[in-house]
Amino acid sequence: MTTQKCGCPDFQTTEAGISRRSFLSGMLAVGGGLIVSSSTGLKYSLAAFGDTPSDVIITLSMRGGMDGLMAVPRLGDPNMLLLRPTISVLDSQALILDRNFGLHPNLVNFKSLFDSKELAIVHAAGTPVGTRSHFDDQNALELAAYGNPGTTTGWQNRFLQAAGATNVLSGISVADQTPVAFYGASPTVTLSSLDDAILGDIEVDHKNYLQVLQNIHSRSTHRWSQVALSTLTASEELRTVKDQTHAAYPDTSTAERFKLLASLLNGNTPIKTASIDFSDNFDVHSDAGVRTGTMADNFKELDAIIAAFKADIGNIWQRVTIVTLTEFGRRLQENSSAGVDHGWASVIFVIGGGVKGGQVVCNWPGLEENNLRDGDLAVTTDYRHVLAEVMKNRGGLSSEAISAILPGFTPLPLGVTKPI
Amino acid sequence: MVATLYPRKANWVSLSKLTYGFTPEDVTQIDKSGFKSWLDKQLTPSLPEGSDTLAKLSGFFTLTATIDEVSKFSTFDKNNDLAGDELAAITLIRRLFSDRQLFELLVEHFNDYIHVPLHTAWQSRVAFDRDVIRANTLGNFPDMLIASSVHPSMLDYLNGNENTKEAPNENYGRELQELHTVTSKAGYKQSDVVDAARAFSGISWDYDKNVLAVDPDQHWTGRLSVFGWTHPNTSADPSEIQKMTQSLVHYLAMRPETAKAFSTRLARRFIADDPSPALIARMSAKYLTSGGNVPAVMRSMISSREFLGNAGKKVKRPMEHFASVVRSLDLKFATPIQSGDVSKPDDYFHDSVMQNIDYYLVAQGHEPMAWPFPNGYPDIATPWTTLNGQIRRWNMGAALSHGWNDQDFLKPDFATLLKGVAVKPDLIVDALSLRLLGTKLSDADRSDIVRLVSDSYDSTASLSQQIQYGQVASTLILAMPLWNFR
Repeated sequence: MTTQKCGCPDFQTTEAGISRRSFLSGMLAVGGGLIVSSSTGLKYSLAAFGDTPSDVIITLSMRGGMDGLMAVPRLGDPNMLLLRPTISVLDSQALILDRNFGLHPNLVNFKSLFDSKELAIVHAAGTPVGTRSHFDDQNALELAAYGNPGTTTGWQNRFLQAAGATNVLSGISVADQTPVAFYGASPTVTLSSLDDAILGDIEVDHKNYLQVLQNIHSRSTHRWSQVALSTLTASEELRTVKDQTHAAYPDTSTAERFKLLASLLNGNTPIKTASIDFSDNFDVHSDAGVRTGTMADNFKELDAIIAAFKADIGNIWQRVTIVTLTEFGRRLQENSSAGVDHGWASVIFVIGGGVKGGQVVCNWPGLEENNLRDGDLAVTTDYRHVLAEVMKNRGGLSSEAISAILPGFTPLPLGVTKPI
Repeated sequence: MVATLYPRKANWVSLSKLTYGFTPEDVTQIDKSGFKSWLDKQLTPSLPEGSDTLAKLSGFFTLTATIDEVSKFSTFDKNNDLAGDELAAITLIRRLFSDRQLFELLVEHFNDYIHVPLHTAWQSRVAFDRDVIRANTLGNFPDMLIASSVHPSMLDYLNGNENTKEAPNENYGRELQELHTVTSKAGYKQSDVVDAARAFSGISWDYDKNVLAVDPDQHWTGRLSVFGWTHPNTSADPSEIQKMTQSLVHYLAMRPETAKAFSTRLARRFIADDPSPALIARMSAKYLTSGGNVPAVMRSMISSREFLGNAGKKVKRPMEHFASVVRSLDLKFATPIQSGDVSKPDDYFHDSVMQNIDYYLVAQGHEPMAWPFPNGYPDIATPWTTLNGQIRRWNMGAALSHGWNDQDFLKPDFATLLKGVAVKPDLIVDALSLRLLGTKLSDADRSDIVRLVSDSYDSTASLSQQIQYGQVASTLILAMPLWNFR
């Protein structure tokens, strides 16, 4: 593969670069801590790192496969228009970022964030194994344990354990269903509504009611009951959170989730990591659109929501790092329905007060036929480099802890975040 | 007295797995006829839904409407998608009240399996439920797949309508293999995906005439190879093209990988999140020898030792939880269902109690058939074990026990539920725990709950002691961990 530099920091990220010696062979949860054993026999407990001060690391899942080539088009590359005759963002339409890349015209607030150095973009990024299956790739992305098959815990849960999170509200997934990234032993909270987070009263004393609910669940060993105990604790804490919005969001269900997250942050909830799903579907097999169309509309909504969220949380923004994730990008060549089928590499947006923004970081693989992988933009930056850097710089974790969270992976710095 | 409400142990397990929750009539029936006869009835395609259910369904236009009728009736359109709302309502009524409980559970299962989200394909989604899912639920899975492959709902959802020979749209060709048949573990290749897409290229739905259209000019011809299936595919004749696609779907449907995936999903639905390989092997063998016959595979699963041996291993999803509260407390709708005048779009379906009922599921992220991705709602415990989910269950248990949502449901009839039970907190707790959980509580749980019931007060100063105790006891028993399992 020929590599074209894109005027961004040079780094080496090929899979072959991973040292097999760093491969961690086993991982099991014991008591409250995560015991990690490496193939060299080294063992240590993640809980030993203590409750580390950290930013709020927010993952924004764009499920369905977000089209990185439409979000951040390559400028001046004839292959774009050649293979995407109806859905290419023309150079004249793009919001110019640097001499190689532009932004989709609907991402106007993203352009402002890029200019104010609060948005960094990692291009040609993605998962190390692209299968073009939504479900396999999404699952693997959230487990983030490619080096350790059979792992059933999600990386955000392992992050919480490594960070020594003690409060149940340290990990929040704003969703109807718990995402895979949160599976694991560290207690977390999944919610999508504050109204339905408060235990209503019946005609008995509230404390007695609460006590009996705690008792009946503490006598049961099933996970349902363990979570119920966390739920009861969290629910009492959430009584003080005000459901208030200080900014104008679009009228969408994703915006409702960001409003909820903003209310929690404004209410001083001790969140270390949170996840949010972008509700609309990025699986745009038809009518992707440039100005309007499904993908274009998604970008418009995303752009407006992030701007509103920033305004809503005020100074807390300085402690927030948002990382967008998607299971794969789209095929370079458009299909017969002005859409794009499943591909591989996409872009990752890293947004927030602690970001070294204003740069597009990549190891550009090229769009010429021999540089594509099976017709797809090739992944030259493993998304775990981004996770690792954010966990280190903004999550305050040590390299050892990060190695345990991302087994078998050797992270390299990308320089998209400032150290905390 | 109480004993008649409480089925024998094995029957309790069977009812809790094979129904959305059981009413006193279910218990009486199964204890009288025995499990085998009950199951035979449940697996009989001609079993009536019951007069109460039929009466509730009678006002819905789309229950029997053809695609053409839905398309042409001005009440229904893409923007309001009243047809989708109706389908959710019809489905909920059946899950809550139909006598065909096992059939409805299976219909839900196959709607998750061969999934088309509720509010897509507004003209045809009701027909998809009826003609693809329900028509084949007690039949053969390959027939269901073949019917789904060219149904307008599927052609719309997975882009078959836009699949042409120049640039095949791979969406359906991939999901057919990944989700509906062999799954990605089988190791099909990208070329298998492309060739499956090519096989279906040129097949679309003609929305002017509401018929399937096979356009030979848009059909890719030439040899096809999909996961071991090959076809010369030289003919541009529409009926030959359709025969060819049916042969492809049937081939994939009868692969051992599909048998395994089918059996795993079914056992995960009814037995445990992680069913044993031995059970899957047994069910898969039955799948292959029976031609993918759904009742045959169900029977092979139910007759296994694991079926009764895995009581209470499944966390109820919100749907089963809600339905089991309604059925076990024998709750009645507060008002009759009024769908309104179908010829007046502004009037139709607006004040129906069904809109409120649907919201119980919408709020919990589990509206019938509404999962936004092609893989159907998750069917394991972890995703559903959430803060909102648990708080909602406790609050909903309280609301329905007390009759607070009196626009939706009448208060539970405690006079009947507690007939013959002395009005004493401990006896009422015992009676309701047998009724709802099928077992007495442990001493520690019992004494906690009895104390709370004894200490309860009547904020309205108007209730009989029996109702006051009954509603607090019911609230607490519905909050028991065990109530969330089946």
